[in-house]
Amino acid sequence: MQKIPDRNFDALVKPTKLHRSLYTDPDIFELEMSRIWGQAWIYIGHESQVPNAGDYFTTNINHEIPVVMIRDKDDSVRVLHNRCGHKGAKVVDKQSGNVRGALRCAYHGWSYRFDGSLLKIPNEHGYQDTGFDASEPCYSMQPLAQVSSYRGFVFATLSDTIPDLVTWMGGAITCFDNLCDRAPEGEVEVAGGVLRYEHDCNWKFILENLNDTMHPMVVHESVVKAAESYIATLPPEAAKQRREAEIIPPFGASYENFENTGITGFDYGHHYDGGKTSIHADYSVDPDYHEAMVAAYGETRTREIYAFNTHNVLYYPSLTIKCAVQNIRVIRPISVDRFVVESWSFRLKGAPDSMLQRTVLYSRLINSAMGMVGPDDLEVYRRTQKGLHSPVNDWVEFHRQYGKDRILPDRIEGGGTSDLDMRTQYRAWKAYMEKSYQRGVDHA
Amino acid sequence: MPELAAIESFLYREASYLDRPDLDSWIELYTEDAYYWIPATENQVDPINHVSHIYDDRVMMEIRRRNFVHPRAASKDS
Repeated sequence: MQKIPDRNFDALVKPTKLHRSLYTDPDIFELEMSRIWGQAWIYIGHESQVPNAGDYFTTNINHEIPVVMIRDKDDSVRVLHNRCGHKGAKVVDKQSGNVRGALRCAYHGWSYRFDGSLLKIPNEHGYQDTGFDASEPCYSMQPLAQVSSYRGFVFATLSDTIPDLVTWMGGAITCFDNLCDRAPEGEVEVAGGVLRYEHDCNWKFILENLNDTMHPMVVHESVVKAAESYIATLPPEAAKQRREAEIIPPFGASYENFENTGITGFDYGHHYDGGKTSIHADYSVDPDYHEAMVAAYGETRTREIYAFNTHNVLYYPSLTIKCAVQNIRVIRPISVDRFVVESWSFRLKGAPDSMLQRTVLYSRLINSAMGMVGPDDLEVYRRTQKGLHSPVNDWVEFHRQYGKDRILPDRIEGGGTSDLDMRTQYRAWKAYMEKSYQRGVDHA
Repeated sequence: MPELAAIESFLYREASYLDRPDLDSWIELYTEDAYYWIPATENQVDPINHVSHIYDDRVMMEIRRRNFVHPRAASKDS
């Protein structure tokens, strides 16, 4: 095993290539967990998952640190370390639910208010004159270092020095706006259940694949051909009614089409492909939905909202969203060769049910590990994880369109088939690992 | 219980077609109006407003069958 540098990762991350140990070395994984997942804003959940006081949702903020998102009595949404101030037991064990009155540890019955402050210790007089001070924060369920939400999407961070959420999202924030603006009421809410899968590969593969537009026409060729050839045998009227016919074939779009979508990158590793157009741009518009949108926004603004059409947006490292499909995927590493991904769907408030139904259809067709598109992605991640154990070549390359990125004050733009997405996320990877974000953002 | 035996035998036959794989014979086990449904949660009643792992009608089953035999469908190899 090599020695991992403390502050300088130049030997592992080059401008056009990465060392394979980023995907295989457990020591690098542990450093990622403390320096990337320990500094970045991590997506926790959506406020609509905890509508009433005492409603909670639990998750980890990295591969192992448990947290709980809970609605307080003053209607604010808290994110607390899910650890009893006494012996350290996880206080809330279920994934979601409601607690009445107070959070209570199952071990010795210490109880906490929904803001995490210590409410009561059973048989408390035993602590008298022992030097124990119940008001010390270490005896509470402590809030995360920073907690913030944007349009209902709740993030938290273990870092007290990372800039505020809005600054951190930078120009990528417009994608959250577009997702929510697609609701006639301007708000979205979680609906339609969740798909949760664990996969045998490094967590970074799924992030790298999001805006890798050189793979769809290869990896998804078989299903696109199968769908197109079978749908062509249907009577035209029957074929027109198949929403699958809008969703699956664009995965086989040409290199030229994907090049024209463009990729835009931001500080902290965020990026999206599309904007003016994407593989979701030609979806039909439900007339009832359009009517509700025009009533809410007027024709011009409605067209503007539709016109901003991205494919995948990455908020590095934990969240990817699809504005046009109202679907998000939440990533958590487990170990160097295992991660978990959850697909959540959202209802556009004020929109007809057909919109959520399309979101749910999309999720089971594309994101499901038994779907038509996702399984082939998962298979190539699995093969990559295996292949990278070969010592014959220590490097993974990403040269495409290197040197051609357009560097603007707040973003970097480039061709849709470029490796700009790789350059963007690994610039952030290196900055987090070298702790340079603690000294302020370094532009490319 | 002859009915139970018939159901068991059907399930074994279906599994053997999938294992071979022989999807041409597999799909003939289903009527035209059949759905192949793997719900995402226990006691799930709604396949339309709630996500599923699979919810295929005949058209999607046909597409899945064609995908599965395509030489470039990587996932069928694992």
